[in-house]
Amino acid sequence: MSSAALTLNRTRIERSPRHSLTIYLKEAKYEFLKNLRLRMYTASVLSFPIMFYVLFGLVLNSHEAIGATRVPTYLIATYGTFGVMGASLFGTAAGLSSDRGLGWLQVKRASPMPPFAYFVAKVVVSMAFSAVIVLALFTLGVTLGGVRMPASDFARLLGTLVAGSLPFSAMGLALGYFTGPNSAPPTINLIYLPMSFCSGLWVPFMFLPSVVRHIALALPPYHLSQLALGVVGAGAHESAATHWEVLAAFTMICLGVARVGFQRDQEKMYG
Amino acid sequence: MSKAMKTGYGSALTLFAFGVLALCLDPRWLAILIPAAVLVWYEAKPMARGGRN
Repeated sequence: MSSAALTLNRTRIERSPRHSLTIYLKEAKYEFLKNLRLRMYTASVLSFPIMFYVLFGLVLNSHEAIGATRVPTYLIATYGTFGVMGASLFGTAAGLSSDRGLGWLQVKRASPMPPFAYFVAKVVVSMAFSAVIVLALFTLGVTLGGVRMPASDFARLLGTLVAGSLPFSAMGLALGYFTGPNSAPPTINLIYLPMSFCSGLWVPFMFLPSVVRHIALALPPYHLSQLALGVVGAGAHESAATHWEVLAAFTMICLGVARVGFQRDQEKMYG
Repeated sequence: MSKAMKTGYGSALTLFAFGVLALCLDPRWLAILIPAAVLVWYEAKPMARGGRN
């Protein structure tokens, strides 16, 4: 009886940095176009924070203030955080789980593209949608809510919120590997909506019950919203470094969970 | 346990450790920990299985 030994030669693909950059950019571009053409994704991710902002920030409470900050300004920070979270979680988790379900990752595996480009594209697209949401909220605030803010503060707010999409993209990757295409959207909602409420994104943090305020300290959206509120002058005067530390730690732990999911997928499919 | 599996779970444990370190260490360490975490994920790639007929 003879046995045939299969020799697998691991060939390393050599690419110039420019060629690699082109691949990363193309992957990000087509990921963006894919999400843009998913009307339900675009409509829900963009419309929810905008609709809530118009209702609670412009129609109902536009002349009220929370502390020394006017409500339309305060709510740009909190609904901005809410929008960033939605765009990142739905963009990565729902996208990844549906790609896994359709077998799209197997097609990608067979192509010579760098595997990391797929994840980078998801994160970049989440950041792009996050930027669109913050810009839309700011445009509404300035034109209809009388929000006045120096350009440097606005740039800081935009930068903080867009950078803040990273922890939620990492969380989305982790969720995407452990949920199926049908269960991903309800699972995301089950985490996203209570987390938003408990972090003071719908109701200002100081009006939340004491128990919820204690829970909020362990939630990443609370830390991102406090960073954003700090920019508009309504933060809780806590150290920004602490908030960034918590967000970075959360990102790395979620990346660790996603790595377990990635490995689990590899073993299940090819092991 | 295959080599690929060991590498994968080793990477995951490294990322968890980075997360804990990010909470415990000075914020300046984030400048090292964040690129290191990205590098760990960059190494995540499908590996060809060998050792079987």
